[in-house]
Amino acid sequence: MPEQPCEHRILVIDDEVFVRELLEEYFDKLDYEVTTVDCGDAGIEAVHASGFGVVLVDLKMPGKDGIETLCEIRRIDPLCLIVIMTGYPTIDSSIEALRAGAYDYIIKPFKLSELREVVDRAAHEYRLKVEIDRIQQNIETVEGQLRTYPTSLPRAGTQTPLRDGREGQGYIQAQLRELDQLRNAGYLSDGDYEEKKGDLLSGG
Amino acid sequence: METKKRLLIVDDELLIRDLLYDHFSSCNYAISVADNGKSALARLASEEFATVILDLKMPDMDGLELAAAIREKQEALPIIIITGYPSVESAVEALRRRYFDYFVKPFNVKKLEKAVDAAIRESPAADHHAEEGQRA
Repeated sequence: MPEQPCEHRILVIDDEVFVRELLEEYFDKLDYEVTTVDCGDAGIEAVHASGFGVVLVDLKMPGKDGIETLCEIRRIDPLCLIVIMTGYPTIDSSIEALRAGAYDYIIKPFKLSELREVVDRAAHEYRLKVEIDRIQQNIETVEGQLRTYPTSLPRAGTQTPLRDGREGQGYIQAQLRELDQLRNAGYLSDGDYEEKKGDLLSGG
Repeated sequence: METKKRLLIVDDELLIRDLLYDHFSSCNYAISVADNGKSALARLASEEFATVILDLKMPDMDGLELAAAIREKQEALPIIIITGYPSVESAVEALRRRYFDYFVKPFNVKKLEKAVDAAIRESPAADHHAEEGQRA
């Protein structure tokens, strides 16, 4: 079977075998790929080994507790969304979970349908976070390229350092189109757009 | 000139408003205070803030209701909850709505100050105009 995209991959970390089996069976039927482990260290190892969109972690476990495990996983994969599950809810642990950046805090016993809603929402949010991250990286790449163009390209309409003038012009046109797209998508202000366009057309 | 970050403090208890006003003023923040949800929303409509600190239990509008109304208007504005009546439910609600922090009264004001600093540092809306605060 081909591996699911990360947003459909769930990691369940719980020392209770009953909970692990129940969640594995339930989410497996819902087209999620589920991995289960019985302690925080094994969960951290699993995240190191492969990507998960959503992690469900029990709060009270022998060894690393749920909050420690959450913090460690977020250091490894800041995009991954982590849901704390607990049969022993307290004000202190819910505040700790908030501060540690948990996606949700679910009290056991819970209805599977309620957990499913949380997981579906988290998976959707994970996909958006990955997409935003990708777009931000693209913007940084384009901005990096734009910073170097004015010094590497001649003025528009003159000879270019590329193989021929048409190729140089084509390159500038392509960059102008890219700038248009960035402005239309709201990533560049009008002022930044005009400045970068001016840089491109003036060659410096 | 160093710019001052603007802070809105919403609490129906005068003692808490005064305590936080004095502390954060001495930390070079520009402070506005409100004693209920309605006047807090009026402040937010006319001034820009870097962070809001709000009490959960207030007479006219509770803190979670006020926080939700703020979120509708200013999604990126960090919100810090303070309460003398903590509960798992309200803390989880704060977690789900991604409020920045949740403090139980009586709290250590230095810890609250650290949370405010972090909220402003991490907020995308961190750059705000500087103005002198007015005591309400």
